[in-house]
Amino acid sequence: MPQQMSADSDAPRAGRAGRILVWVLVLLAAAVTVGAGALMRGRSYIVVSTLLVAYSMVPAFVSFERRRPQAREVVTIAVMCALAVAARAAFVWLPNFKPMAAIVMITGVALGAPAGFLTGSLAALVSNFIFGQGPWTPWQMLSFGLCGAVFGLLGQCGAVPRRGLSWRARALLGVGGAAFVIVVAGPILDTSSLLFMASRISWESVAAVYAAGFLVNCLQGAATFLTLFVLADPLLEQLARLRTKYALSP
Amino acid sequence: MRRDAFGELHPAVTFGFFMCAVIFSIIVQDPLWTGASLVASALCLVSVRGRRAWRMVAAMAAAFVAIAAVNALLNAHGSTVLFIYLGGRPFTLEALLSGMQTAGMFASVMLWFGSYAQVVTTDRFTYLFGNAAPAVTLTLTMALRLVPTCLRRARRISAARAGIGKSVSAGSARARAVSGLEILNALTARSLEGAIITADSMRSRGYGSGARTQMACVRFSGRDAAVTAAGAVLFAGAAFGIARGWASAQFLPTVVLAPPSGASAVTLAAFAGFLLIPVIVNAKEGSPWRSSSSRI
Repeated sequence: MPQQMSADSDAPRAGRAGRILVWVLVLLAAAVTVGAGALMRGRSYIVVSTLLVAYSMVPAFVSFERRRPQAREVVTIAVMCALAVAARAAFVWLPNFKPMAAIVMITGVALGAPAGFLTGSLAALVSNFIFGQGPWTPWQMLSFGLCGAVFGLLGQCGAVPRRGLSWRARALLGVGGAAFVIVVAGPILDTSSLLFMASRISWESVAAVYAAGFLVNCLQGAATFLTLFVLADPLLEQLARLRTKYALSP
Repeated sequence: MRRDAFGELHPAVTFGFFMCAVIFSIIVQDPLWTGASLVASALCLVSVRGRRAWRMVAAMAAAFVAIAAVNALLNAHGSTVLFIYLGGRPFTLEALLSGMQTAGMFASVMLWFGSYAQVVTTDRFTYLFGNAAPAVTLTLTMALRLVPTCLRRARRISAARAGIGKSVSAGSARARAVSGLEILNALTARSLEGAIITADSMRSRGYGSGARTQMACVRFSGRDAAVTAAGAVLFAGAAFGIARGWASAQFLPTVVLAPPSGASAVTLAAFAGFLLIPVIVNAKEGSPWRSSSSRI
């Protein structure tokens, strides 16, 4: 595709300037939001923190737009999103078994951090279109997006092999995924419950919300471990085949 | 037949309204303001959803009681002790009021999002962001469309497996979990293969060959402009009152509300008027419709 090669010839420099500009704009918007929130007083800290969470995702979306993704990339990410959401249906008879985080992590490992972040955040958004949007939507998007991004980075730096996982690697990946859900992804969601349901941020309300969340997060962590342990290897194999056969990016 | 006049407004107007309504409902703390938001959000849901709204209103009433009670029990501050429980833990009036205010905020936000789901449907949402973020919106649209497809495929795979004696409804919990994961594996293989075919089909039809255009199914009409103008005036009035602190309240250790004045009442009326925009638009549209249909 010669046209695209020439269009991308000075892409690195323009890309870096654009990235810096996006971050400057996001930080400016964040500063304005914090200022307006301070003026409004009351419970504006809830609105401000939710908006900051939403802003934090803007650079990832903008860089996806600027990359002008190929049709294959768009469709692959859309399919992984839909699978992550629909995976619950394969387990309707096991309440609370949600393999969504695990599928997002596998996508991140196979397709890289940017695609992983996009898959996770869009999967959370799609799932909320079905189960109902709420003030927690940005928090869920960030939480699942981070699942994809962090495991994408682990895949990119070689900490997680991208195909042909040994039993030891499967177990380690499963434990890592479960730990990430319990320590990072779950508490992000608990923070949004704390903001919207506690009348007062005190030691008691913080302890109550995170303790209640811890049990749920452990269940989700167990589901993530099992899904990664059983499914990571075959799914990574399928995605690796797709990468080599159709020359998909990274 | 019901006509949803508010839902037929431009998506930018309805989306903007719901975002402002949610932010207002979260920020205000004064019981009068929270109460106004709670009533307006319930009326709005009934107005856009009709009779089906009552189930959600009832569920939110239950959530209101639960959240108010839990917050009051977790909060031992406050000066007016109502009773003592668990050997010395006080249950105070202030903690109860503060819990009720939080529960009211939560219930009204949930009700606003209930109306939001009815009005800002996925097609309107994707229309709204289609120009600003075409690639992300396209991915989102395709994912939304693929979820039912994946569910259908998963059912087929599961039925086929049941036919060879590998049903998910039999065996130990572990065997069933592994069986479910195997369905997922087959579903992924099937869906990824289809993804490449879809992508190649998109490319051969010219995806990515030029600037993207958008087909506009809606346009910004005079009615949208009128609603936006009225909304902006009411929004300014409400925001002024909130910025002056007339909607703030302190509950602990004693209840301190902003002293009522004529000006604060005006801004509260603007706040209520802003939140009632959907109800007013629908009622205005509905009344000639009802009178003409009754004559037939």
